[in-house]
Amino acid sequence: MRTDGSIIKAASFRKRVVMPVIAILCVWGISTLIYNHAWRFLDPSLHRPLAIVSAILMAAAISGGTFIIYPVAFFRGASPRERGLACLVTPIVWNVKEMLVFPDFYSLGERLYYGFTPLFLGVLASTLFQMGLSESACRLYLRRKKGTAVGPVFGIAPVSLMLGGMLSLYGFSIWDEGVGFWYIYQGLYQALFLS
Amino acid sequence: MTDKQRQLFERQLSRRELLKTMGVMSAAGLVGSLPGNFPDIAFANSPGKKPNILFILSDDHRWDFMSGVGHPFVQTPHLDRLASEGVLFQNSFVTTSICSPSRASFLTGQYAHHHGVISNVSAWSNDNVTFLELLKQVGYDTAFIGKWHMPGHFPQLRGLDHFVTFTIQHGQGRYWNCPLIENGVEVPSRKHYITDELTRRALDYIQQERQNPFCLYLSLKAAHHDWSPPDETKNLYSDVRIPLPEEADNMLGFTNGNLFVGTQKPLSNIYRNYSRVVTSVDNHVGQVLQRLDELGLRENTIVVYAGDNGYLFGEHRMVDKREAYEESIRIPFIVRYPGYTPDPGRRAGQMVLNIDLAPSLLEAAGLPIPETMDGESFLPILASNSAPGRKAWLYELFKDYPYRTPPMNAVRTDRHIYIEYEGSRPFELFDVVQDPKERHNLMGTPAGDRLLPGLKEQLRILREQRRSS
Repeated sequence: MRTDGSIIKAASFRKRVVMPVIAILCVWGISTLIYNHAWRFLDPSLHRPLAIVSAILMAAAISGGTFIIYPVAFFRGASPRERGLACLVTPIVWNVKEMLVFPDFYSLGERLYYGFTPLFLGVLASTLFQMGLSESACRLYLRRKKGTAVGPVFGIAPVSLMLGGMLSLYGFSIWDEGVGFWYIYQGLYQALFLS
Repeated sequence: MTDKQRQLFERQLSRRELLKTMGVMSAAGLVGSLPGNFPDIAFANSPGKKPNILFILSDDHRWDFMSGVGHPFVQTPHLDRLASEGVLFQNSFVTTSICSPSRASFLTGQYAHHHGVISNVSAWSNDNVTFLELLKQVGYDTAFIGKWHMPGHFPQLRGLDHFVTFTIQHGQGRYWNCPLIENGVEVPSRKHYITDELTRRALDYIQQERQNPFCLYLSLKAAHHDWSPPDETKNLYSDVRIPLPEEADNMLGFTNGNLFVGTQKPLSNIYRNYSRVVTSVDNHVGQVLQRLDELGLRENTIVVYAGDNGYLFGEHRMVDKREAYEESIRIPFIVRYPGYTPDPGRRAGQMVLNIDLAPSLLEAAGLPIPETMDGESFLPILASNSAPGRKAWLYELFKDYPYRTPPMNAVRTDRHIYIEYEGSRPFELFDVVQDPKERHNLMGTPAGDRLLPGLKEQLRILREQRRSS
């Protein structure tokens, strides 16, 4: 997998990585603020529709931002490593924020362990899957529209990302109706903090 | 005289009606006062005959999800009937609002700090003594059918003749095709739907021929997550508007850590399915009541219906239980004790708790109440509306990872609740009579300043009692 200057001219780091990441972070941040505070100021007839829109945007930014960031970074010439890291920024920032607002009656260790909830791991798995899918889609686009190739559409890298992401997502969020891994997480918590 | 009046005049009074009439006449001074121990003469069964006991425990059934207490659309005709034939405790609470601790409190008559099941991950100790064990010692046939859901090894319960439960999904069970463990042996479910299965087994147990009185503990999975209604009720309430609280929105289940309680759907969908499951529970309660009638057991059977904790549907922008807010700590609690209550249909205002069940049932069976029990018998309240209730009680919650509700102690009086949290969450004080939605924290207000010393002192006393127990 490669996108080098011979095929796509690389834009500046700000344009190829920072801007798409900032755009998604802004969507996440603003929708989070609206979701959590609109109810204080607005009548239910207003805050409820707003809550739906802002919650969808919030969730989309956290768990679906890859579908925006990855292609933008790809076509602006970001390297595979840059593309991957860029896609992980929003889920990680969101998770760090969740750890920071996690109640202070828990110990530091418990708060750190909260960073590995099945929810966050599920989002990470979903991000990996989206990265693989986006990579294949971008390669396909290049091949069909530009007649150039940066590697096979279903090469090892994108397929591995898709398969790994899907399997992880299944394990973290779907297996046993989502509670299977939850109990592993809880069991590990007990082993780490209660024994 | 009209036909209707003639029928009324000529028909014989039932025993209950006769007792009711006597009570009214006595109160009016028309007949001599009844003997001091009214329940003894009121209970029509032969002296020394112990009543059967049927305790039905539902899961997460919030107190106000019953038509009889004014829910805007949920229909619970059989629970309403039970209330009309017994006593509905309007101020009934759990001392810890999560499943396992509350269930252990029902069984032992003890606070969570006492029986040791302080969260859904702390283990049940086989040293705990249940009221079933004590009833067995005085000749009861005993059975536990349904959700056990307490962590630790499979329990070795003493004094239990028949034990049917499930361990799948860490004891939470499944609504559909839930494998069971019957007296230690894994068996498939005969009915597809869990409440059908458990009720069927309860009916089978009730109608067994026996010489002894029975005590059946029927512990339902419904109406817990994931709120899956059976075919009979799955289309109910499809067109009603869901009355979410003002501060709530439909997406709350997905945000603020609420996903950890399994709310993967819009809140109104969950509310609707929960309502359907509650009505399904009611239907099954109706089946059990009907079978008691058919078998002629109604007059000699105490029936108690309760929930193990309440549920927040967006109040305070929260979903789930654990909190000390009214929606979380209040439970439905109905007791039908034929012949014991002179005025069936009464709504008792005294505060009763989950820890009161065990001592009450023991007293009803003629057993002394062990000093190790923290609860009080509610039988005096069943017998007389003027019986005094408790003045205050302790609510306690322990750390329950990774939920965001802090460990807390609270004192609830008949008018106020004062909550002290661990961590940085500010303490809260509410006047639950004037402010039943608990939207105005009185801490730091002149009214709060006046109330606080007394409430702090009550909480201190309750904590002292806890230490001594």
